[in-house]
Amino acid sequence: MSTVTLKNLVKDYPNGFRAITDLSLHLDDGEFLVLVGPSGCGKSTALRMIAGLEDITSGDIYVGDRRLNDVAPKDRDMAMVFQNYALYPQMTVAENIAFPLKLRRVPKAERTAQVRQAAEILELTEQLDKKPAHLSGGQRQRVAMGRAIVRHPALFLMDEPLSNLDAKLRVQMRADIAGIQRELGVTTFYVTHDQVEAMTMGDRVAVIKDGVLQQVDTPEGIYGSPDNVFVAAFIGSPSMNLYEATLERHEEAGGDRYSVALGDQRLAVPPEVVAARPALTGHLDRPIVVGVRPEHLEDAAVVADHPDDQRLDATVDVREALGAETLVHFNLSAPSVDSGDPDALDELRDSGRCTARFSASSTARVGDRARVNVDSRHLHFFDRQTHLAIRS
Amino acid sequence: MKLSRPSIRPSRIALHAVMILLVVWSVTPFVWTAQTSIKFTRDVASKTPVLWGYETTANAYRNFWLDSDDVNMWGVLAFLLVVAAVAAALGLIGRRARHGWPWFLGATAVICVALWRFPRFWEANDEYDFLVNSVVVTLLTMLISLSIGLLAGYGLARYTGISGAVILIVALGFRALPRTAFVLPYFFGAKEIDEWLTSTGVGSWNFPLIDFPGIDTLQVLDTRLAIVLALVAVNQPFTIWMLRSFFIEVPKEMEEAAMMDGATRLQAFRKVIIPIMWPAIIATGLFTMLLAYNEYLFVRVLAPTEWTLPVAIVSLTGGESSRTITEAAAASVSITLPIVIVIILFQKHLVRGLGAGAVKG
Amino acid sequence: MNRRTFWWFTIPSVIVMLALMVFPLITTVWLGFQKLLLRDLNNPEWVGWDNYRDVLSDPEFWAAVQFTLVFVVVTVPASMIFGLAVALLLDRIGRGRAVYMAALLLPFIVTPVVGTLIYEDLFERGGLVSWLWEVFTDDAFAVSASNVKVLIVVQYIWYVMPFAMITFFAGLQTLPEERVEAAALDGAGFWRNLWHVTLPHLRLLVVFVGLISVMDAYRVYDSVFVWTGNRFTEAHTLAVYNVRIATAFDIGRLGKGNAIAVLTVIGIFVVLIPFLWRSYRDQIAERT
Repeated sequence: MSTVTLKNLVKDYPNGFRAITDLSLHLDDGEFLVLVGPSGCGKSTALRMIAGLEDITSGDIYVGDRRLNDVAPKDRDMAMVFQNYALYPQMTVAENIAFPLKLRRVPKAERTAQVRQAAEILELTEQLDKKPAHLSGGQRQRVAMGRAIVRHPALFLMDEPLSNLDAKLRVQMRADIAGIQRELGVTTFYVTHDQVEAMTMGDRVAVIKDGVLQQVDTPEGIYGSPDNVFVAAFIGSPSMNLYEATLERHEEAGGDRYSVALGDQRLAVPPEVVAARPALTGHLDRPIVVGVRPEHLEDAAVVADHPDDQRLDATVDVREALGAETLVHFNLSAPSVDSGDPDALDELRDSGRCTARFSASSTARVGDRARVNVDSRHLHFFDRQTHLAIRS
Repeated sequence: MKLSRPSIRPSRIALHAVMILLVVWSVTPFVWTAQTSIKFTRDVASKTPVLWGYETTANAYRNFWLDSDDVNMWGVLAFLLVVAAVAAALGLIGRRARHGWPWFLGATAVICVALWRFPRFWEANDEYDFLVNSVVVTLLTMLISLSIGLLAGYGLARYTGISGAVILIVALGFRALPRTAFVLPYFFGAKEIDEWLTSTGVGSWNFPLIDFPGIDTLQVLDTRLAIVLALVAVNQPFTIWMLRSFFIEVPKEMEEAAMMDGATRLQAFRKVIIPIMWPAIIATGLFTMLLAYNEYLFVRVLAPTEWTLPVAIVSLTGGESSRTITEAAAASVSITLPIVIVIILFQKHLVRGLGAGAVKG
Repeated sequence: MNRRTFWWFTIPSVIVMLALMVFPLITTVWLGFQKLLLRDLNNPEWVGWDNYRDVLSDPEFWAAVQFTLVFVVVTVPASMIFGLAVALLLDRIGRGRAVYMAALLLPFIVTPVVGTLIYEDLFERGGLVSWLWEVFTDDAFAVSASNVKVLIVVQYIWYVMPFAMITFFAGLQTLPEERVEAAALDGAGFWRNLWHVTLPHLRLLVVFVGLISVMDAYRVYDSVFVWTGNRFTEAHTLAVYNVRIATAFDIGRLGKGNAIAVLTVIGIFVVLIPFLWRSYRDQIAERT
């Protein structure tokens, strides 16, 4: 059984910097877990601690029931794929893949057979006699994979293995790696800064920021109900629009109505949304954070059939026609919320910036005053102080 | 096409003319000396230099190296050419082969065996022993200096603690120190050790493996060992700085990958790092070779009789007779030729070594 | 790499440096306070600062200091400028570069004492230069106390120029082509290009070569010794003077010799310590 358990891992650097704070995670046998976070968030450090390449300040690492804290990297039965591949330049592809077997004193005949098998899986048979310097980026990446799979390790560790590839190749390798992992059934710990990789590859996704684990869930769970403002903004592209707003209650005879005050505009919130989140009533008339994903905004000119009080008015600043859809940027007069993602572009922190994903048939032009349908059932609410989701 | 390096845009001919003038400035002494070494004494002694049309002779070489006047120098030349050809052939195979080092080792071995057997064929002078000393001292210094330098250079490139920085800076300071700060205490210390060895009787023990020819007692002063130790020590700061600057260029993922693949740190160093460090090892080795082969002061002070070639040649020029002028010229050519051949073979590594050591140093 | 592994890798080198550099340096300082003669090594006698008083009142010492300083101040800039010029030329050579380079490197790789000997030969009676001198001036040329200092300096520049040349040349190979092209498009001429593009790129190398050159020129022994031997003592540099005092037959004064060595070391460190301190800061910064 190759389950992996991290218990309260902490990493302090000699200069006092705390790279990892109290990280606890559990991977089931055969699971593909993606650890995702912005640059410098400690995700690679966590991976290197599991590999044994980085000392552990405190906490424990288990594979199955075996505690690995003081086991040398070579005895941990893990294979690692590095961001820069770290192929041995003086060896051919075949020698590179065979190197871990050679170190384990696997007999030569068996070694050759296993290298051939790995090469077939990775479509490297033609390249076996070449040196890494003569390979393309994608081929090098596959050799690094080959070196990992040939050993049948208990755990794969992958440190941003696709970040040095061009965009097209990355999409293909994404599918290939996920496919190979499913086929081999080896527990995999995958680190990336790319939330698309995280969403498409992982059985589960763990989001980390500043060395602190934010949320672990299935891709759908993370996307659909983010635990806090950072996760909400980090997962999904374009990012969720987040504003400071006030929830107001209007008492009426037929039952209370609710609305959100976004700057000088008001957006009606269906009562069932509030009913599903009883805690929201504790935040009435106080500033909270409201989020809405771009796909839950639509051009009112395209979909006319929408409650009139769930609409906003805005002037179109930028229009990006992508073919299947059209991204429209405009400004709401409400203050935006900084999610704390260090990689986010500064211009996106402009106050009130909003991105909407309109149907391709939208004819909104730059400078137009557009009516925007808001799907209020999919609003997200967060506490303004703690940035935690208000869900219960 | 190169657009314009900082250029005076001289025409190609002018450029080459300037270069040729520079070459003349640089090699005239060598050409002059090479000429002198193959002249008869009467031509050398002539007041107006005989620049061409003179009769050539190998007498000076014979007198310097051999203990006999009636040796056919063509035979010696043929012997040397055969040795050089065999060594060159092995070296060429080694350059092509995937694992080159056994071939290079073979080439070195051929040269060493030839050196060792040479006196069996021709009666050699004392100077021949000094040549052997030079070769032994150079090879041993390279071997010891590089082995401990590689380990330390790697450690210093990878360790991020403060002690690493301290060692590097202290070493840099040592690099600046004059030989004179070391040679006197070395001499004094060696003398003390030798006296202790004699007084305790250890000096007269017989150690077959470290028995140096011509020396009956175990001692430090006046041995090749003393010279080698001194050279290894003063060369260490340079070696670790240069090798460290090369190791830093190797991504640390390289050995981490090896360790994940199942290697210990030492295995990763040996099987993954060292094989990609050959250019660095050759470059550092070349500088170490120049240092050891060219050393004068240490040998003169620490080895009053176990000279190496530079001391032998300087001592030859004390007199003023024409005979020694040609002999000194022959000696100068003999000592320079091997080093010139090695440097021409490895010129690229030398240039790159200086570049690398410099940029990071 | 953790501390333990680091020490395993580094300890052989550290032991060598402790035993054969740190310990001898301490011995040097200790011997500098002893009265110790080469012919009677077994009876060191503590004399306190006597050796230093002796050295500092020795006019030969001050002559050596003076010539050493002149030597450094002349040869270091000369060889660096000369080396840079040749490197720039070499960089423009396409075909035949390897041959030129080999020929130009020759003085630097040859054994220094041998290089000096053969250079000196040109100026001896019957030598090429002394003959040419005679042809043009009708005077016989002889190496003498009046010209030996100049000859030493010229020959040392001949010997050491290839070091600057080859290092600068290696640096020029890493100069990005675009930067030169951009400057050319901006209409920069040779001098502007050199000043604003090439030299800033070589900045670190210039410091490196300068530092190494100062160290090596300051402690020069081999070539000066060959030129002067025991004649021309007024053209002795510190190292030559030092070895002469310590080992000269019969008068070898080891104690005084070590006092000179200590003063020499102090001299170079006065120049070096600011630089060492800066390197140390850089090293520490690199590590965190």
